[in-house]
Order: sequence, then C-alpha cells, then structure tokens
Amino acid sequence: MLKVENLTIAYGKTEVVHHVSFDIKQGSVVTVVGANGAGKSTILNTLVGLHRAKEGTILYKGEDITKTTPDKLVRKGIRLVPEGRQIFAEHSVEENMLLGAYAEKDAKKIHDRMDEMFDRFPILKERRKQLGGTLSGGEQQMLAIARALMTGPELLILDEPSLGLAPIIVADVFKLLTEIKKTGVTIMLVEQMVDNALSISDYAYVLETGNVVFSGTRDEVKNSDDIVKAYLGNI
Amino acid sequence: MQQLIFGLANGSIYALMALAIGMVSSTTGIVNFAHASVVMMGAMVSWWMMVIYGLSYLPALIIAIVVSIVLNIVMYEACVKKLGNLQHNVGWIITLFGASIILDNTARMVFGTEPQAFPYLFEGKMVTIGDANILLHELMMITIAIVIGIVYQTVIKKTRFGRAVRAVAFRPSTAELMGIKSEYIILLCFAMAGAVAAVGGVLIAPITFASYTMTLSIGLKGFAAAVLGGFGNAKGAFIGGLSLGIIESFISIFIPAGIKDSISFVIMIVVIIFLPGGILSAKIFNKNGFASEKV
Amino acid sequence: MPRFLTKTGSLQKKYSAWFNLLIVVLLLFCLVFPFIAGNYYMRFAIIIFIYMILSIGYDISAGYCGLLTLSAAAIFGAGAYASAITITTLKLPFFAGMLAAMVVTGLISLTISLPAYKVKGHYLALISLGILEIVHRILNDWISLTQGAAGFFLPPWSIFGITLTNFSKYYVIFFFLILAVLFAWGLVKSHWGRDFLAVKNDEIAAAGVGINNRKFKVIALLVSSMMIGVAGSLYASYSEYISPDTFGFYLTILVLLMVIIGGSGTLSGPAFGVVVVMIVPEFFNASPDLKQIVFGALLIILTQILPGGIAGRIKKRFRAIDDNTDIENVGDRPPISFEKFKVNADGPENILEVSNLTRRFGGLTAVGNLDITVKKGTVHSLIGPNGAGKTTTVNMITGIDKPTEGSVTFNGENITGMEPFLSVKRGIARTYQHVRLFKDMRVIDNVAMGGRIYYTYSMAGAIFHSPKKRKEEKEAYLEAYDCLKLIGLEDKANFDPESLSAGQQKLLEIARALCEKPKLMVLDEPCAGLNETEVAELSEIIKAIKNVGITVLMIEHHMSIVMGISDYITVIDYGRKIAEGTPAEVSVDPAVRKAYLGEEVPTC
Repeated sequence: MLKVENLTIAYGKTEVVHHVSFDIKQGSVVTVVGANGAGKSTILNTLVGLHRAKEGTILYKGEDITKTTPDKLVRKGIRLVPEGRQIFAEHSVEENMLLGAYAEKDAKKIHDRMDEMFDRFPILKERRKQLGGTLSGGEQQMLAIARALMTGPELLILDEPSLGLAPIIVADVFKLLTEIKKTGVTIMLVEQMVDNALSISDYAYVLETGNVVFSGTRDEVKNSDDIVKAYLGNI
Repeated sequence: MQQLIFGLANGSIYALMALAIGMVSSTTGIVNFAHASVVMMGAMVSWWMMVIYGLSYLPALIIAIVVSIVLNIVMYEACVKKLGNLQHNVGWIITLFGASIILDNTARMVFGTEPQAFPYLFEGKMVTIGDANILLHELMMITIAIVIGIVYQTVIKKTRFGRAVRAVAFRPSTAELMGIKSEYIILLCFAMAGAVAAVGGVLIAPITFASYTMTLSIGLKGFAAAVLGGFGNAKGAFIGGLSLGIIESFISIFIPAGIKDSISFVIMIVVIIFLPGGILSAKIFNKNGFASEKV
Repeated sequence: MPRFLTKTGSLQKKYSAWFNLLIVVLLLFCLVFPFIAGNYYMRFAIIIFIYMILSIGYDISAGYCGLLTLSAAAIFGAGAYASAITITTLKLPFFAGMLAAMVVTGLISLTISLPAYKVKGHYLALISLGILEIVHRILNDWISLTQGAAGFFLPPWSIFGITLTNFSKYYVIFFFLILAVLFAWGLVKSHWGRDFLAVKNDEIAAAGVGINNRKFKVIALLVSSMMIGVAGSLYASYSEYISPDTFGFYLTILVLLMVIIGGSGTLSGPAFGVVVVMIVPEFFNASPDLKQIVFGALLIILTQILPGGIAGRIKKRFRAIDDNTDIENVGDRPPISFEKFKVNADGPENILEVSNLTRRFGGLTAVGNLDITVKKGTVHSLIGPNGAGKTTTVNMITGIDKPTEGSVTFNGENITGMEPFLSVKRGIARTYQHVRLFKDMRVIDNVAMGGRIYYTYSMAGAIFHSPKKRKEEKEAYLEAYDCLKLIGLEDKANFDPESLSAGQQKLLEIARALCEKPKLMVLDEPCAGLNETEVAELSEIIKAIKNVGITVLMIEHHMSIVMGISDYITVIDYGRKIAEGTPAEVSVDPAVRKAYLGEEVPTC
C-alpha cells in the first residue's frame, strides 16, 4: 500500500534520515521502533507532507506522493495522529472531531461517523462540550484517534500514542488499535514501548540514528539482539 | 451624553480596526503594521468613487471593500508569505512598514494632499435624545460595528470556517493534519481584515475628513485599541476600542485637541508596560489560562 | 580582539592593505572636499555626515542588539529641539545644548527600553511608533516651548564664542563623525558589542554565558539614543532652523532604509547606506512621493532578498575566502591540556542537591517531588523516556524555568529560581538540547563568549582601547582558542557556526561551556545528531572534563555512552524518580526495563 524508497530527510544541512526504504502491506500493522533521536517522527512527518524529503520517493497505492501537501493526503486517506496528541486545547471535544472531519463535506456522513465514534468512545460523548485542553492524557489520546478516524482513513499513522500515558491507559490504547485494525485500516506505528507495540504488529523496522538496522516479522524482531542494543546499548 | 455617543462612535471604529488587526494576528502571530494605511485607502477609494465618478454610497463602499481586500491579499503574498517562521524572522515588521509607506504615498499622489469632506450617511440628519443632538451617522457607526463584531464572533465560534481559523491559530501544522490548508485560511483572514478596514475607513471619514494623513491620525489608534484589548479576540477588540473612544472623548474636555491624540499612545505604552496581554489579561479577568511547556 | 585572529586568512591579509588604502583615500577626500566642491555639495555632504552619525547610532540598538524600533526620527527630533531650546531660550553655549540633547534622548530611550525586556519584537515596534507620534504632537502643539509647526529659529552656530563659517561647520561636523565612528568602533569591537549581538541572536544562550539581557537592552538603547541625540543637536545648530515636519515618518523610513541597505549589525553598513539613500535619488530628481514609494518597495524587497545588507554580504564573502592558515602562527602557546580547567576540591561533597523539585504546567505535573544528589567530580546521568521531564528538571536547575516547589542547592548555596546569568557566575555552565549558538559570530567568538564573565574592563576602556582591554581580549581569545583545540575544532575558528556539521556544533557548545571554567557542566542530550565516531570522541572529552574535577550532569538517550561513562544514573519517568544507582544497578532494575521496553522483554 505504501512504499518508501531511498528516503533521505534533512533539517537544513543536517541529514537525520539516511536512505531509508520500507513498505507497508494493505491491512497490516507495521511498527517502527528506535530510541529517541533515531528519526522516527521525522519520517512520519515527511510521509504526511509536513516536511519535504531531500531525496527518495514515497508511493501510496502506486501514486507518487512525495511532494503532495498534507491537506491533499488527508483526502487521499492518510491520517497522522501526531506526537503529543496535539488536541486543539480551546476547541470542545465535539469541535475537535468536526475539525477531524474537515475534509468531509457531506453533513450526514459526518453525523454518522460522529455517532459511530461516540459509540466506540463513550467517554468522549460524555465530555463532548468540554474543552480539549481539560481532558486527561488518556482521553486526549482517544480523542486524537477518534479525530483522525472521522474521515475514515485507509492508512492510520500514529506517532508514539503511549507517550506520557500511564501503563493501564497504554494497554487500552493498544487494545483499541487492534480493534481498528480489524475494521481493515492499515496502521503504521512509531513507538518507544517496544513490547506493547510489537504485540499488535505484523512487521517491524528497527531504526537507529536514521538508518534501518533491522527489519522482520514480530517474532524475528522480538528475538533479535539489535532491538535491545538500540535501546540499552551494549552492556 | 453627546460626548458619550461621540466617544462610542469613534471607539466602535477603533474596535473595528482592532478586530481586523486581531484577525490577522490570531492566525499568524504578526501585527499588520500596514493596516492603518488600508483603512485610509478604503476611505480614499470610496471618496474617489463618490465624488469623481458620482456613485452612491453603497456601490462606492463595495468598491472600497474589494480594493482593500485585494490590497491585503497582495500584501500577504509580497510581504509575509516568503519570510518563513514569523516568530523568528521579524522581517515582517519592516516589510509591512514598507507596504504602509507605499500605500500612503500612492494615496498622496493619486488623491492629493488636501483633506476632503466626506458625506455623512443620512445627509447628516440629527436626532435629539434628551438635551443632546446626535448625528444619525454616529448611531450607524456604532450599530454597524457591533453587527460586524457579532457576525464575526458567530462565524468564528459556530461555523466550519471559524473552527478552521481557530485551529490554525492554535497550531498551523496540526490544522494541516486535519486537511485544512493553513495558508489559505491565513489568506482569507487577511482578506476579511481588508474588508473590515474599508468599512471602518468609510464610516469614520465624514468625521475626520478623508486624506492620506488618516493613516497617522486614525489608523494608529487601531493598534492602541488592539493592545488595550489584547490581540486576537473580538471581545477584547471591542472593549479596547470603545474604552479608548470614550476616554478620548471625555479627556478632550480638559486638554487641547493636539495633545488629545497622543493620549491613546500614552495609554498604549502604559498598557504594554504593565499588562502586555491587554486589560483582559489582568488577574481579575483571568481565571483559567492554559500554560504550556517551553524550551 | 587580538589581531592575529581577526586578520588571519592569507587572502584577507592580502586585501587588508587595500582596505587601509581605501580608508586613507576616503579620509583625504573628505578633508579636501570643501575646497573642490561648491556650496551646494558641501551642504549636501554635511547632511550626509549627520545622517551617518544618526544611522550608526541607530544601528547599535537595531542592528547589533536586535531592538527594532521605529522612533529614530523622534529621538533625533527630540535631541534637536532639546539643544535648540537650551541654546536659544536658555542662552547656554553649544555644548550645554548637546548635553541637554543627550539627557533628553537618554530619558526617552528609557521609556522604550523599560518594557523591552519582557515584550516581544512587535510590541517594541508599537511602543516606538507611539513615541514617534507623541513626540511629533509635542513638537507641534506645545507651542510655548517649541513654537509649534511654524518652526524654531536658532542663532548662528558658535562654539566657545566663535561663530562658525560654512567651511568650519563642515570640519566640525566631520570631526564629530570621526568621533562617532571611533566610539562605535571601540564599543563594537569589545565584549559589549559581542554581548549585544548575543542578546539579538539568542537570549537564552546569552543568559547562559552570563549576560543580563535586560541590562544590555537598556544600555544598547541608551547609547544608541544618545548618539542620535548628538546628531540631532548638530543638525539643529547647523541648519539654524528646525521644524516638526523634519522629524516625522519620512525620516524614520530613511534611517531604517539606510541601515537595511547598508547592512544592519555592521559598522560600515549604515554609513554606506546613507550614501546610497542620499545620493541615488539625486540622479532621478523624482517627486518626493515617488521617492518614498521606491523606498517602501526597497524595504520590502531588500528584507527578503538581502537580509544582511550590502556590507553584510561583503563581510560574509571575505569570511568565506578566509582559509585560516595563519591561525597556526599563534606564537609560543604551551601545549594545552584539560588540566587548565582543573577545579579545586574545596566546597561540599554534594555539589548539587535538588530536593522535592516540582514543576506544574497548568494541571499537568511535569516534574514531581524530585530529589537528586550529584556528587562532586562525577558524571551523573539523567535518563528516562521521552517527555519524562528531564529537560524541565535541568531548566529549573540552571534557572531558565522556575520550580513550583522545592529547592536547588549548588555548592552549599541555595540557588532556587536564580536568574540563569547569575548561576553562570557561580560555576554552572550548560549546553542545550537544540543547539543555541550565536549565529552572527564566528566560531572563535562563540567560544570566547563563554569566558565573558571574566572581563573586567569598563565601557570607557572599551571605547578608548585601554591597555587593560587589549590584554584581557587577547587573553580571552587565546583561551578560547585553547578550548577549541581541546575539542579539535581549532581550524574552524574563523568559520560561521552554521557552516559546521550538527556534531561539530554540539562540540562547539561544549567548548563554550568549558570556557566558562565551570564547576558543574550540564549537558542536555550532547549526543543527539552525532554519528558514531563523534559519539566516541565526545565520550573521551566528557571523561577528560570529569578527570579535571568538573562535575558533569548529563541528559542522554544514547545508552552506550550513558552506561560507559556515568558514575551514577538517575532514571525518571512521568516526572518522578523511578530508579537510581550505578550503571550496573540501573541496567538490571526491573522498573527501568519496564519504562523503556515495556514489561516482558527477555533478559539477555
């Protein structure tokens, strides 16, 4: 579904991602793991068009989207749940979800989706009039995911959904992601919490200082030394 | 009473200017230093249409609005868009200042240096309330300003477009993840500000006369009002504008007219020094602000 | 600043003779100009000189210190009127008038600069715009004092009772111009000038090398306004008639344009700009409106395509040619080692004690009840997942952020909530997660900024190039050079910091911190953006720093370096301490493995 070839990304003169290639199959869950500063978020931001690649191509369903702007990518069905959730703090929960559906013009569809989301996240229905900034971290994460699902994306990209959440809530988030996967949405995940992330994914890439150092199925990655090395170094 | 209405009328125009400055600053974080010149251009263009081409009030106003919208869009494209991160690159202060100079001098060349009498609405008819004679025009100024304020506030609070504006104001990159084209929204805000500028210019021109010096004498007070009310919210703009108008109108009883005009700047400076977020940011008004992490 | 470092490159050396020749020719030309030019051109030259003083003065605050104000014309006018009134109404001599001009303009600058420390750029512009209008109104409407719009007439200009001819006026004003240039030269080529640049480039980093941002902004505006005031008083006495219209919007545009065309933050730029702005329109003889429209357009275009101005462009070009070969001729420097930065061993054993440190942002607790004790002479690492509150903790220790609760004790002294520029003086140096370098200064200047807390020479000393200044500057730059050598960047001394790689920039920050001769060095993610070789290099440097007794507190994610060089590790998560101990203890701690890896990772 998504095919990334030879992707190189730089901030100014500093290259942070070097010639990375990977692909994501329809309906699968793919995780990119790696320590801080490995370039994970940078890759995601480039995928959704917030940042320009220096080199390389990104193909989505065979179409070159390397230079496509974020608003067009949303309409093509790619949604990012950004790092730190980035809930609109001074919009109500409902407004946050309406903003999520900005690309959708059909009022009935929006209404249906909203109901669907409220069924799935009863807590959001309860808080629909509250301001986004007053929600707890876990609720914000739910809202961020619900917001992204408002346009019914085909590829959902999540940047560290567990960031700053208590372990119990993290478990909830991952349970939710499994459910979303069942509805046929392809998921790409970037995580520090390797174990949780691997438990739901089909395939994983290990990233270290801007290079893919290992890739394989869940079990292959789990049993490899590289991953421990990438996190805890050589002890 | 007369003083109060006069103050409110002028104040409502200051409020309109502050509102338009706020529209731009909420989404981009910048202060449009050329706004005062756009207000002046609005007044001059409509005067030109009415006096030279003999158009009636409404068509002249519409043309002025269109011209101001175009001016603001061009200004965004030429002075702001290419500068990149507007928080780090303060070049916009200089470029917008440059734009203001161009507009002022163009007006001077095209329309001349003489202040021009500008017709009142309703041919300057007066109404008597109690012992005060009040121009209908002044009442119209207040009404129109308040209507614009309410319409703007409703659009911002209730509509899809308004949500998008607030989303861009919160963080442009996050807004883009929702499928909003942030740049387009910012452009629309500039356009709206242009339209409001023209209305303000046309409404105040009968009182101040239309001339290229309106930029300095009236336009700058919009900044004072915006500072007073705090940038970027309609309520603040009106509180800032109206209170400035009233203070000015009452203070002019005691001091000479020339000094009166500097009062608003003195107030502005004092507010910047002591309450940089505007009077609404004072502790008593501010119960639950959001603080965020930095560095 | 020692000569061998400013004029190092062989190419620059080759050209420096030409530069000197150019200056001499210009000087001679100005001296003989009255003899060859007619009255009209002489008057024109005088106005150019006055505007040069004005824009050089304006550039000290706007160009060097980054305080973009729009009130230059008002200050110029206030100076002119103050001196005119002193001379005419009070019947005092010319120099008393000039003094009055300086006092008045100094006072006006204080109203601008008092809020300048806490407001952002556009508020400063607004305040100054307000000042411009207020001064304009006062000049127009306080008729008993200023005679209003009709203008103000002065008696013929006389100094010490001698009435000046047109001829002598030219030389007097030229003399003042030379004085102004020398004054600005002395100021700019001293730590004052570099401090102004530092404040403009990055206030946090400036505070991090011990600069009191507030103080320097006030000083920059004060000095700049007084210089503009001098220009104003010269203008008043020279022209013998002043009116409020001269000091309006138009003049502000002109000054702004002069600085922008020439290049802000350079000494020659404004002077250059004056010549361009004044002379070029002479050839067109255009209407004033058209001229102003062109000026406006230039402001828009130049800001976007030529941000450094003409002089900035030239300077950059020469720096790029410069190949630094001569920097080796430093002389008989003893071989340098880290021993130089040895910290003596007195003071308490626990150099840094953090107790019950808490920081809440709104409802969110970023750091909660944190206790950390750092022992002297150790490398202490602070690790934890993203968003755990590490940088917030370090910001509170160094004073950038103020804790909601709790205390920080350094070397036995309570430094809780102390301003960063003060904690630097107590021996805390730091680097930043996202590199904060002074981009308008060369690499060597950046390092030398670290040693700025050791300067003792006064502003007068700076202007008159006192022996003390020369000695201290030389010493500081040699020391900075040593620091560069220690981290292996000495051959980049004359480069722009932006031309270095990310890794080199990080190392440069460490060199700057080292130059502060700290007792405690705080490193915030020093390895981020470094490649493996650079990480290895860095780990050697940190070890060397530790070996001379400097305590290191480090935030880092790169685990091999953390495990390799730390004596002690504190692990935090959700703003709370979850583990503490030696690397060996921490790496097997279940809580740590959980925080980092999730629960059920097989032990290896």
